[in-house]
Formats: sequence, C-alpha cells, structure tokens
Amino acid sequence: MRIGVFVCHCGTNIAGTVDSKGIAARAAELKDVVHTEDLIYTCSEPGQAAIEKAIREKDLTRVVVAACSPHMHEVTFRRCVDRAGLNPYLYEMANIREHCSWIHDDYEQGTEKAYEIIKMAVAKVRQLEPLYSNEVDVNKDVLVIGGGVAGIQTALDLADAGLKVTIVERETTIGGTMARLDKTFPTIDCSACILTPRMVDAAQHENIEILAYSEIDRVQGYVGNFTVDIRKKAAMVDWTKCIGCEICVQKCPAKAPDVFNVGLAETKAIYIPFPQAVPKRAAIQVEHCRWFTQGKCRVCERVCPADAVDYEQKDEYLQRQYGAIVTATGLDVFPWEEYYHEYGSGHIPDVISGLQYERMLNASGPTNGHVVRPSTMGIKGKEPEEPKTVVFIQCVGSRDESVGRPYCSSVCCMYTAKQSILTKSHVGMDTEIYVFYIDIRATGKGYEEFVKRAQTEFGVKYVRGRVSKLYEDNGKVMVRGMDTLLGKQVEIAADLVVLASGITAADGSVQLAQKLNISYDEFGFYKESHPKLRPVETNTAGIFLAGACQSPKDIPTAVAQASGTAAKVLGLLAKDKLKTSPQIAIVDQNRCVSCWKCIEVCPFSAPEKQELRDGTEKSHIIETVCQGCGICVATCPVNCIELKGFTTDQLIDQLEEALLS
Amino acid sequence: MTHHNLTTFLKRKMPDPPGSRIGVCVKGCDSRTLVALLQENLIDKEKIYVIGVPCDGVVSRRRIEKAFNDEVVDISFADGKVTATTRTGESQEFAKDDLLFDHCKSCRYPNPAYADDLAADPVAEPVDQTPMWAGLEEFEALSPEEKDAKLAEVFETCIRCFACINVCPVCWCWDQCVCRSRKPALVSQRVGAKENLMFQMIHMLHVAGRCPSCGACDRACPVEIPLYLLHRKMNKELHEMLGFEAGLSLEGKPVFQTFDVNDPLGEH
Ligand SMILES: Cc1cc2nc3c(=O)[nH]c(=O)nc-3n(C[C@H](O)[C@H](O)[C@H](O)COP(=O)(O)OP(=O)(O)OC[C@H]3O[C@@H](n4cnc5c(N)ncnc54)[C@H](O)[C@@H]3O)c2cc1C
Ligand code: SF4
Ligand code: SF4
Ligand code: SF4
Ligand code: SF4
Repeated sequence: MRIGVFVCHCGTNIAGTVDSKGIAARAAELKDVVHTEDLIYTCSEPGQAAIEKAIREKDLTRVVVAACSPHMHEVTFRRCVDRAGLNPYLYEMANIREHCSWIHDDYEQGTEKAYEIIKMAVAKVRQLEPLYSNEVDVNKDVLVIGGGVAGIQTALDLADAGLKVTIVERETTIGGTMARLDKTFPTIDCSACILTPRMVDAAQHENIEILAYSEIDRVQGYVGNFTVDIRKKAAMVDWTKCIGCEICVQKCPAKAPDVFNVGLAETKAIYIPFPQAVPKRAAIQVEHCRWFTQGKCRVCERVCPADAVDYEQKDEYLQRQYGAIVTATGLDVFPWEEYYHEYGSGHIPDVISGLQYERMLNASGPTNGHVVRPSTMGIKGKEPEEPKTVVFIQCVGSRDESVGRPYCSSVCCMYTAKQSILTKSHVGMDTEIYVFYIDIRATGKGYEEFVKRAQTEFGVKYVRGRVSKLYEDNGKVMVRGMDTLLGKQVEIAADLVVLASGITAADGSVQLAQKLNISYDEFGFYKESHPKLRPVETNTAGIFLAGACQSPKDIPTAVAQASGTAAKVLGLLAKDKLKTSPQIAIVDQNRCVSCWKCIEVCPFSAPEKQELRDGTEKSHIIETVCQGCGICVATCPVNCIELKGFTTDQLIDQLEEALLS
Repeated sequence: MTHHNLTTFLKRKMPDPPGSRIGVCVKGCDSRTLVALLQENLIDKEKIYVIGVPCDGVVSRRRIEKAFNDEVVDISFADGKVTATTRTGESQEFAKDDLLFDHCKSCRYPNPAYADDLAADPVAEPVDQTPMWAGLEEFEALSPEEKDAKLAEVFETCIRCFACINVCPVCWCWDQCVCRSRKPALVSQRVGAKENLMFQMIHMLHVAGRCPSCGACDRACPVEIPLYLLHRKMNKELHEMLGFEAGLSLEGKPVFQTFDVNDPLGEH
C-alpha cells in the first residue's frame, strides 16, 4: 500500500492556525505513507495537478487530502484522483478547516489536532476498497409543486425547452399570492395584468399539465426516477364538464368565508376564487354546503347547464413518474392575530393586514377598489366611509424575536410604500398617511427611489418607531407609539390601520419537506444546498427550489430564481443516464435475522424483503434507491448492513487511531 | 407462578403446519415483552394463543436456595407464607414478601397487557402509579468515577456465557449476536470488565425501548450480575425523557422506531 497525504494551507484559512507544512512532513512517518506534500490552495488547478502528478509518479494507491469539509470539495478531489487513474473511492478527506483551524485560535494545539485528524484519515484510507458507480436511466418529466408565479415561470421555461411538466397546485386555481395583489412595486403595474397571461400560457402549453386542487401524497425513488402519488381532491364538480359559468355560484344559497379575499367578503359554498382563475372550475366547500351539512338543497346540481355537479365524487389518486421535482410552494401571511394582542388580536375591524388591503385596493376585490373603513361596511342604507387618516405599521411578524420571527420578510417596506401611494391616489392627496417603521430596506433596482417618492411626492409621513398599542376610542383606532427620532410618545387617531404582516413559509411546508426528504429551517422555509454556490438545489439530488418557499422574496427575485431553477433542471435532465453513488448500504444476508428494523427506519424505502431459495426471507437493499444515509446501518442489531466507504471496520480503525494511539 | 418469561421460547420458530398455534402463558411483565415483539411484527398474532396470568409477584428461588446447604426439592405456598423443603427433609417457612423480587414489589402492571384468555381474575393494580425503579437509588447516588468503578466491579465477573442474551425475550439476533462477530469486530473476545461492559451496553441499546424490565436476565445469570443496573436505568431514563414504557399496548411502537413530525427539533 502506498499512501499520499496532501495538506492544504487554504491561504491562511488553515495555515493561520495550523502548521500545514510541518504536519505534512510529520505525516511521512505514518505507516504506508510514501509521499506527503503541503499545498497553498489544493483545490486550485496547480494544487490538483500536483496530486495527479504524485499519484502517477509515486504510484500512489491511496490518497488523503487534508483540507476543508467534504461538503465543499470531496467531489473535486474525487474527480482529480479519478483523472490520475486511481479508483476515486480510494481517497479520503480530512477536514482540518471547519473542524479545526476555523474553530481554534491556539497554533500549537490546532496543529496537533489537525495532525490527529490526518492520522485518523490515514487509518481509514488503509481500509478502503475500490467502489464502482452504476448508471440508471433518467425520466425526463418534471413535477412542479405550487403554481404561484415562481412555479409557473419554472414550468414555462422547462416546457419551452421541450420537457413535459406537471404543476400540482393545492388550490382550485394557479396564481398563488400574486393573483391576490393589486399593483406591484416599484412600477405600480397591475399584478393581474402581468400574471394572468402567464397563467393562461401555462394552461395552454402543450407540454404543461395543471393538476389543480391536488396535493402530494407520497414521494418515493431518487433523482431521475421519482415515483409520486398525487391526490386530486374531490371538488364535487366534474371538471371535465364544468365550463366555469358561475351560475351555480350565483344561485347557491349557502354563504362561506372568502379565503381568496382574506375574509373581507363572503363567497358561496360552491365557489370560483376569482374571475381569471386557471383552470376556471367550481368546487364545493363541503363544510359550508347545505346538502352536505343538512341534507337539503342540490340547487347547484339543478342550475348547472353542464350537468357537472357530482355530490358523490371521491378523491382520486394518481401515480406518476418524474426525473426531477421543483418545489414552489411560496408563502403565507404571518397570522398576526395570534401573536399581537396589543394590536387587538383581530377584534378591531379597522385594523387589517397588508394582504387584506391589497384586496381592498383591487378593482375586482370585495370593495371594487374603494378604500373604506371595514367597520362601516355592510350597513344597510349607509355608504361605507372612506378613511381620512391611515396608519401603516411595518415589521408586524418580522424582525421580532418576541414572536419567534427574527428574519426580515423583505417585501413589507416596499409594499407599504406602494400601498401608501395607492391610498393617496384612491382616496385623495389630502389623506393623512403615517408609516411606522424600524428602518427602510429598499435594496432592489429602483426601490429606494420609490420609497423617496412616497415620502416627498406623496407626502407620506414616515415615523421611526414601534407602535406599542392599538385601541378603539370614539369610533377611531388610537395608535400609540414612540417616535424614536424625536424621542417622544405619539398618539394618532386613525380611521384605518394596515399592518405590514410578514411572510411565513406556506402552511404545510414542513409536512411536504418530510415527504420529499429535503431540509427546512426552523421557520419552515426550505434550505438550499449551499447559500452561495447552490442556491436553487436542495441537499436531496433531483429536488430543486423556486420562489418564496426558500425565503421571503419579491416577485422579480422569485421569477429570476425560478428561471435559474429551470436551467438547473435542464442541466440535470440533459443526460440520458445518471451515475449512482456506490456509497450505499448492502446487507450480509447470511447474518440478517429478519427483524425488519431496516425497513422500518429507512426514509427512502430502500430495503425490501427478499425470499431466498430456502424459503426464508431476508432483507435486501435496492441499490438504486438507497441514498447511503446509513440509518439502517446504525439500526441493524446484528450489524449485518455495511455502508460502502464507511464500513464498521473502517470506522473502528479510525476511532482506534483517535482514542488508542 | 413460573419464574421464566416464556415469550423467550417464541423467538425461534413458529409452528407448522399452518393454522396450528402455540399456547403461551404470560404474566404482566412477560406480556409486555410479547407485545413488544408483536409491535415489531416479529411474531404473528395468529400463530399464538396467549393465556394471561394476573400475577401477585414472583418469589426468588435463589433466595430460598441460599437459606439451605442442600438442594431444595419442594416449595409450597399458603397464606402469604412459603415453605421450602430440601432433599434431606429439612424445611423452613418464609414470609412471601421477603422472597419477592424487588421489581415485583413495585410492579405497576401485574395484569397482562394482551391476552386471548385470562387464567384468573385480574388482580388489583396498585393505586399509586408512580414508577419505582427498584435498586437504582444507591447506584445513582454515586459520582461518575464511583459509577465507573462500580460497573467495572460488577461486570468483572461476567463469563460471557450468553445466558442473559439467550433468555432475553426481546433480544432477537440469536446466533448472529454482534458481540460474537469478528467482522465487524465491535467487541473483542478478550475478557475483562471493559469488554464485558461493552458487550452489555450493546445488549442494553438493542433492547432500548423494548425491554420492560422483566428481570429474566437477572435471574438467568449464573454469577449473579445485577443486570438491572443497566436495563432498569435505561428504562427509567426513557420514561423520564420521553414518557415511554415498552410493550404497553399493541398499537404502540418501540420508541426508537417512532418519529413524530412535531418533535421540536428545529432544524432537520
Ligand atoms: C401583501 C403582500 C404584498 C406584496 N406585494 C408585492 C409587490 O408589490 N411586488 C412584489 O414584487 N412582490 C410583492 N409581494 C411578494 C409576492 O407575493 C411574492 O414574491 C410572490 O408571490 C412569490 O411567488 P411564489 O410563486 O414563490 O409563491 P406564491 O405566490 O405564494 O405561490 C405558491 C403557490 O403554491 C401553492 N402551494 C403551497 N403549498 C402547496 C402544497 N403543499 N402543494 C401544492 N401547492 C401548494 C399555493 O397555493 C400557491 O398557489 C407581496 C406579498 C404580500 C404578502
Ligand atoms: S348543494 Fe351546496 S354548493 Fe350546491 S347550491 Fe346547495 S349549498 Fe350551494
Ligand atoms: S443507508 Fe440504509 S437507511 Fe439509508 S437509504 Fe440506504 S437502505 Fe435506507
Ligand atoms: S435490520 Fe439487519 S437483521 Fe434486521 S432485517 Fe434489516 S438487515 Fe436484517
Ligand atoms: S448471564 Fe451473566 S455471566 Fe452470562 S453473559 Fe450474561 S452477564 Fe455475563
């Protein structure tokens, strides 16, 4: 055995705390080590060339690279070893940066620890065996989960490139949050006018199939070969017949809260969320329907000209195959009512959320675009009142540790500026408008100018400080807060208060992540594989992110990212075959005692029961399904599963080096 | 009532021909090992017939034997008294309470958790359901170093006869026990307190979440190692940390095979 050890300086990243040169020299004393070298930047072209040269000239049979985290460069050096003609799995990485130099200050001790880490890697590399990849066929169809602007963009880009795409949307229409907005900052162009044509494009594209009112039930398989169970929820309306005429909606006698209009209006038990819905199909909310709750009515069935209503309809289950999956599940609005008791917990009618205000501003919204005080709505014989004084409060449910939301929602500063401008143009320039803010984040193109316009051109008064209390008094909403610039208490009697409620991950995002086996943060936003270098990939191969499901974003960023995602998916699916990792688990069936714990714990359903010739059943791990996570290995009581490249004996040797030598 | 936890015998082979059943008598604690095995689909409910035996505690045969120099040939029970007679006819009366196993005295589940039929009326369950962890107080009062020393002392004498493993009903690996394997070489074949402890630690982790402290291993050990120091301690920790006790109902699952999406783990 001929081992080569390469120790990286990583500029001063490692060499600042670790004597890279010294330990490279010391490593030469280790058993079987025939070549050592220290390199300034091992990952650079000359660095990799040095490794290749040494492998060839010194006839190395094993390689240890002591540098950064395998997460960063394992693959880089694996390719390098491969190029030099050595089996790429006869190489081990020793992490002396993240695990050592970056977390220690003491030069001597850091050096000593780095040397220990290298010794452990050498102990393991001695035990390694060559491993060989397999190739599997790739399915070229793509699943996009969520039909907001991001999901639509990815789907259109992929479909234009010739791939078949399915959009699974849990609501009855695609469009997402953007479909509910009025105008968009910073250009104040009409949200629907730019979005609905894209929705129609998606619906009419020959390569796109929209499965609305559907959810993901189960995901199995692996990159290139996912098997997805999709549940089409029963709409109680046969969508192949429904023509979207809305006659049923007009005639239905049962009222239901209007979710699309965020509770500002009522809809019917049978509903179509908005006129431009795609697909434009009716669905019954059974919990509000008289037929389902009281056994009487069936009006919609009678009036439907297409004979589409079907009270017996059941959920339908589909199973589909995909090569890649894109999650674009977007955002929900922070449920401020549950947290901000000082703002009345939703009991003060004239305190509304930013999204409600978007609906109110919208010409096709519940007030036909009239800005009114909700407390004066729906009173017989009285016109709703327009507000004279409007107060906006920013950062409600953002940058607030006390409600568990330390992050910035990134769009509220901007949409508040937009809404304050729109208020002036809807109600009149003489409207008094105050915006309470912590500070203004306007980093996008044209954003700062936009906020300035609100302040100077439209005379919106920005007050720096938090609002401590909202309460009703004499028909007004009293806003008590602090102006931290003037250092004094302010109190404003408002007619309408709009809370810039922050953005959260979509409801159910965590459950979906668990089905997909992708990582998410404590707020339910999906985690990218690398914040800088792999921003649209997840850590699960073949699953990608687009839009606000990753973090709060505005529309331009969501759309740009969605196109980036499409490019990544295209890159992946451009190949006809994919190499599988050989670092997977394998069962020694002679020793398996058929306890099936591996089947129970594997998150990818890789182990299966296999009947042997003698009639006994033993565990067998499906090679293409196993992701090499090692959970079964740790679970198997007889240790008869080994993870190739991380066998128990290899790890024991590594441990013994650390503990005994 | 029988000393033994008879579920152990179900570990091997299920009956042929199909349709036949094995009858098994279980006390409260035995039934919980049975339930643990059923929860894991390791035995087939259709192939057994369970006769539940409500239990008022098991006496330690060893304690009786220690009172004599001769072989005990007869033990009889009457009115809370136990009379033992040896081969030579020597006889002695004991109070039953003095002979009960520690864990029987604080048993909270004397009636079977699952049975097809009961051999007698259920016995009264103790009103006080506070779990007791008999015999641990003394051990837990020790400092970490003293605990190390105590465990070393206790396990020094293990002869690795595997009696505890063989008798354990939820220990499922039989001849393939990893403690006997050379590849991977997790436990060395050397004898000594450290290796013995490693061996017992592996047993303990393999039965974690499945062991109801039935005491079978304690009773089987020929050199009288107090194995409960590990198992009961583990069960206590599981109970305190996760509120878990093994084998309470067929619907349950071993704690280490459950995953609750609502576990407050933060990042995953
Ligand atoms: C009040 C308010 C005002 C705003 N104003 C502006 C503005 O003026 N300009 C601007 O640039 N940005 C604005 N934004 C931000 C903008 O809404 C987002 O950037 C954009 O909607 C993100 O698009 P998306 O596709 O990622 O998510 P979304 O639009 O939220 O779409 C997600 C879609 O996925 C679906 N979905 C969710 N979970 C599932 C699931 N499990 N299965 C299937 N489908 C699922 C949802 O039903 C939805 O259709 C505003 C946001 C708010 C809240
Ligand atoms: S049956 Fe239900 S959905 Fe149809 S009209 Fe009556 S209440 Fe409305
Ligand atoms: S290593 Fe084991 S648990 Fe992990 S994916 Fe493979 S078979 Fe499943
Ligand atoms: S966990 Fe191990 S012993 Fe049990 S079935 Fe799986 S491979 Fe076999
Ligand atoms: S029964 Fe006792 S001596 Fe035998 S292996 Fe178990 S602990 Fe050791």
